[in-house]
Amino acid sequence: MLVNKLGRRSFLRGLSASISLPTFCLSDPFKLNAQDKISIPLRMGFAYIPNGVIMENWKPKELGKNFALPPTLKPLENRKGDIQVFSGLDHTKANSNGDGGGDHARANATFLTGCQARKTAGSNIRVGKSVDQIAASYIGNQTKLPSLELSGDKVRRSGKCDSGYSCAYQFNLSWKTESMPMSPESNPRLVFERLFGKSLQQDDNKAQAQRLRHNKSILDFVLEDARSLRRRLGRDDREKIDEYFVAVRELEERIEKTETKNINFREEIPPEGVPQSYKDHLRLMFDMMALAFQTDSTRVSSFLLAHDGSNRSFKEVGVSEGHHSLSHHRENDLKKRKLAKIDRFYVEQFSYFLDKLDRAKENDGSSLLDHCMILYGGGISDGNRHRHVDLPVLLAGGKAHGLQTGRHHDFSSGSYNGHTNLNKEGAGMPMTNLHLGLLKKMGVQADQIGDSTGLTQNI
Amino acid sequence: MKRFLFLFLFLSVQLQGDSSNNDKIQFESDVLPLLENYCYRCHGDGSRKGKVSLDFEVSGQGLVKDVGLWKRVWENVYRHNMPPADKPQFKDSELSIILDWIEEDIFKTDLQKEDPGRVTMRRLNRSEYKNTIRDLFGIHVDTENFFPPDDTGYGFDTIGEVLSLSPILMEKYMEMADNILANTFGPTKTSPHRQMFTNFEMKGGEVIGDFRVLPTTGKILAKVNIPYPGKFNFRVEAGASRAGNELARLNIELDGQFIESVKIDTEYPSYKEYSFVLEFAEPSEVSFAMFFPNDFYDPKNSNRRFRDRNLFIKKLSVSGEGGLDQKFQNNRIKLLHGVNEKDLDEQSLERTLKTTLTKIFRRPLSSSELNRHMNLFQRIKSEDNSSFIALRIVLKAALVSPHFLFREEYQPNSKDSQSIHKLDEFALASRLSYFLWSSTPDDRLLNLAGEKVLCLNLDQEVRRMIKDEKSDGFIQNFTGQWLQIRDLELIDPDRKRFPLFSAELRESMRHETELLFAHILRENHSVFDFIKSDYTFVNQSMAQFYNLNGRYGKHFEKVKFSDAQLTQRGGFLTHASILAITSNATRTSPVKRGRWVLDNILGAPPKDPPPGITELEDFENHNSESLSFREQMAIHSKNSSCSSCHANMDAMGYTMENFDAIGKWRNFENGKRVNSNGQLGSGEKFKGVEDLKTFIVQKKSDAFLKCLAEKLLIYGIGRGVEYYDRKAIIDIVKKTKLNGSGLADLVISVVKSKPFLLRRGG
Repeated sequence: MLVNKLGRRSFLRGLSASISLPTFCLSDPFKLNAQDKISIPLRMGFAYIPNGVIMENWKPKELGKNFALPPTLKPLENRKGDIQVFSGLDHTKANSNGDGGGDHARANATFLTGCQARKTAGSNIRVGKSVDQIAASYIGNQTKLPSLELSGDKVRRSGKCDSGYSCAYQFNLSWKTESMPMSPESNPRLVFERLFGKSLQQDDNKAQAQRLRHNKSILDFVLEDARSLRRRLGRDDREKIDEYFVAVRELEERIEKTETKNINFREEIPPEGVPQSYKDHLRLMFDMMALAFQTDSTRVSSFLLAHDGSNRSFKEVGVSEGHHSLSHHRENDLKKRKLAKIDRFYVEQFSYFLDKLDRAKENDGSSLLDHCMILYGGGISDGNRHRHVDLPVLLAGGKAHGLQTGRHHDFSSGSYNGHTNLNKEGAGMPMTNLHLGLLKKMGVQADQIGDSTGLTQNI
Repeated sequence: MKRFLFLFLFLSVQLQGDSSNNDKIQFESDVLPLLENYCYRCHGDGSRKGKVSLDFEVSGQGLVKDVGLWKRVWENVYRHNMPPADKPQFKDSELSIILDWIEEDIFKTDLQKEDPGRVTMRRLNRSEYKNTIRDLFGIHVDTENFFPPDDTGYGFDTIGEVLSLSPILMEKYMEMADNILANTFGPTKTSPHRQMFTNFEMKGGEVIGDFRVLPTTGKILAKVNIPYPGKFNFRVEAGASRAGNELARLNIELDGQFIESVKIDTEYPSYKEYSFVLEFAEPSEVSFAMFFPNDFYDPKNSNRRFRDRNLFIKKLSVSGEGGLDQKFQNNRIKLLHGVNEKDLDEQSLERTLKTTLTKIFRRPLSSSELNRHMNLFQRIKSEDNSSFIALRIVLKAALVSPHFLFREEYQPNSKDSQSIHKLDEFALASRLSYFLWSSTPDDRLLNLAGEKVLCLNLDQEVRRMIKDEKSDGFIQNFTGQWLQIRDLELIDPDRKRFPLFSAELRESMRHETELLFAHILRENHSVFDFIKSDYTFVNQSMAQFYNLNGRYGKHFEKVKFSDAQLTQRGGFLTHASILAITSNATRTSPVKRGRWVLDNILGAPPKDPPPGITELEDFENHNSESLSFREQMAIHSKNSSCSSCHANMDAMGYTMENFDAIGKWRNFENGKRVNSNGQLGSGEKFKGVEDLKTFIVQKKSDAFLKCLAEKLLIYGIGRGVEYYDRKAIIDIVKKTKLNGSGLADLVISVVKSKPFLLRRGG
């Protein structure tokens, strides 16, 4: 079989070669109007890096258009005109606020929700609906998948996570409701199959129609099961069965969609499973996000490169200590140098992704990157002291939709300059104000996310 | 000293204590002195360390006003977080006075009428789903690489509240159901079987161009798969060179037995097809031989073309009419109780659905449920004109139904959070089987539940289930999470420092720990063998790693340690698996090891570190030239907010310093003799891990039993332990101790505890 003989490399080549295949375009009403740039939809992506960064190597010294890229951001030199580096963004809901330890769990849980995660090891988990899921609930019906959640953690830690927080907070970025995380997928092959079906499965149209009809009957049938079950359940159990309802309904909508819109992307060579090397893994996952945006299979995606608190070592860049252990560097120079290497490693993978988006062309010849907003960053700035203010954040792409790329902007009142602010309360802008701004760009009207105090248009 | 005490107290006591329980605990005379003694230095008389003050107005509602505060007190006292380790500790009797009083007077629990709690409906997790499918359909499905990981709570992946069902999972359940049915019952449409062998895919003779040739008497062989009974057509493309006065012959043999012979009348390099129809009574793999019996060689013949007679075979094709693999056929027959698909009448359909769906739903169907499924069947059948397709759709619906995916526990009063009732027998069967097998109940459990006698046969059933190899599911999932050895998958020791580490060793480490648990469980040995045992299980690579003499094979076997070896190994604390997961990539971590003991053996997890600082672990710095690790730790321990926990944590971790970061024994580190001494805040001194083991077995036996009982209960019932479970846990510990602390006995006590057998509505 072709799949086995060709390695991952050839898959990557295959991807770039076929990325401008016209097959899917005809099926997309948005793309018929190739002359009109605005008709090309804007996509929204999030990439999360754990454990904070060495801020002095991250934060540009100058504001505005004329800024030099600090060492950690150097891999983005080619893309400097496509990014905005943001300073002065805070997530104060990731602070303890009386809940004790657990900054890693909170950083992770707060990043897209702006809410204080309820401290519990299991019962009654609560945080808040995340910005990507708000977008998905408005515009998700326009694409095959409402949203796509990805993760670079192949294996999870057993049982216990950070200081009394359920692992759900630490391994999920996206929350469909305040109590229901969207489990991310870490196997690129399974992502591919979700997007395009199994390439080996060759149904003729008749068989496919039959299958869809059967699936509809089945879902109708089990919804009835669920309804009668719900009637005899108590309150907490009802919450579980309501998750079931949501999941089945979403699936039903999907079935309708595959009937009307027949995306054919079978020419792609699917990736094999999870590669050995972390770098290859991250790149493949980014490939999948690129592919999903390229084929307009979804317009909303989040990618947890590694859960916050991750203690992975980075042999690729000669760091054999665990990331988390190192992150408490106590100003030790050797450790900080190693951490900066890790920070840069992550930025390099992100830069690979942006290059890929840039090479992919829309019908009017503009680059896909100009039609994407990708937020890259983490919920901790200084990993040594677990600070959740003045976070490392950058936003890439979106030129064609009026984003003010190619600058370094500070949202704070200026008090973070020089990194002297030790105050955890923050003097910057809630990151959720930026989230609201992103939603506005997506055409989604939302009044509030978590701790937002307003909407910033300055992006 | 100003006390916020008023003597209105007696009034409320009078009102409550009408039935006049003389030994009822009084706040003022029983509880307050304890608080004063142990807590007030930091949390009373105006001190409010950590914003916690235990100065109460004992008037009216003053005491009960702040239930939240008492919850924290209860939690911290129960979990031994308070008083801090470096301060005087409660005696056991004092501890229960405080806890009893809080439960009775503040939480208003009726200690006579225990609250069994309620468990949120649980979704099957990945490993339960996999085992369930194995037991229902006899096939293996790879859920780990297909379903997203399950979220965990309280250290386990069996917790109802965190097992959520996201849309992606539902999507995958649909696809998985298709896979299961296709792998059990075969394809919906039977397509003809075809198999082809080109010259390279056959054996014997030599390859020349596209052909395989027999230059002398001999055979060309092909291994042919016969997937189902019936007639198969074997077509051989052959030609022969001519010499002598007869044609080359081709003899067909099956598994060495002569079948038929033909003359090859086509001259090489031309060839033609010779075909043979053979009938098979059962599926098999056969050796199909093409034998060339009449070689001829005459090198003196004047015409070079006629000197050598050889047989040339180009290709063998095998084809059968439409048929179904025998295993699929058998599964279909079993499903339909021997009735032919075409003869499926209403009665046999009903029987099939009843038996199959009862197994899938783990309980009998109501007649209206049965009717709904029958109707679905009839509708699909009329649309697609196939009983088999219709049956498959019904089964697929069952496999994605909430009745299958969730474990509903029937409740007479689901809306009434006060009503306490015995668990329904079928729910009990499921609790047992998912606890001890990580899988669905078998026929016997369902039958006992049907007769409503399962609750009367718990001892016997639990022992039977433990002996059954399906309890491997429990052993792997429970040890994987209780002892955290699932994290072996995540460790990545620095290969330069630890060249011995390999994927195989990782696997062996895990296996050793599982086998010790399995042995103690199935033989009902004392749970203290986990701490101190003079035996373990090794294969060749583990034996080598542990420096054991003797010959060992690939398989694990039980070894008994000699006295000298015992100072190094014996019990979990010396298992390479545990030592490796509690280390960092480049070095050991006494903090992590100590913490592991507190968390998983003593059930007294250290307090959360103050926010902003995670664990002291993070401050370890082996790179510093000037100070040793111990010296650094000693400096940090002077910081009182750290020292209270770290004193104990580190002391226990130090005793394991004779094991390196992958668990290998060492006497020296970096040229210096390893120091494995440690001292607890309470004064106990340890010289090495042996002393720590003795301390646990002699001084902390109740704590260990309680810890294990709690973990089993959490894992088994699928929720966290609450204050109202305390009595049940004390009972479990008492009963187990009376019986000699056998692990199987402990499991039985857990199963017979109120939280396991009863539930509350709501």
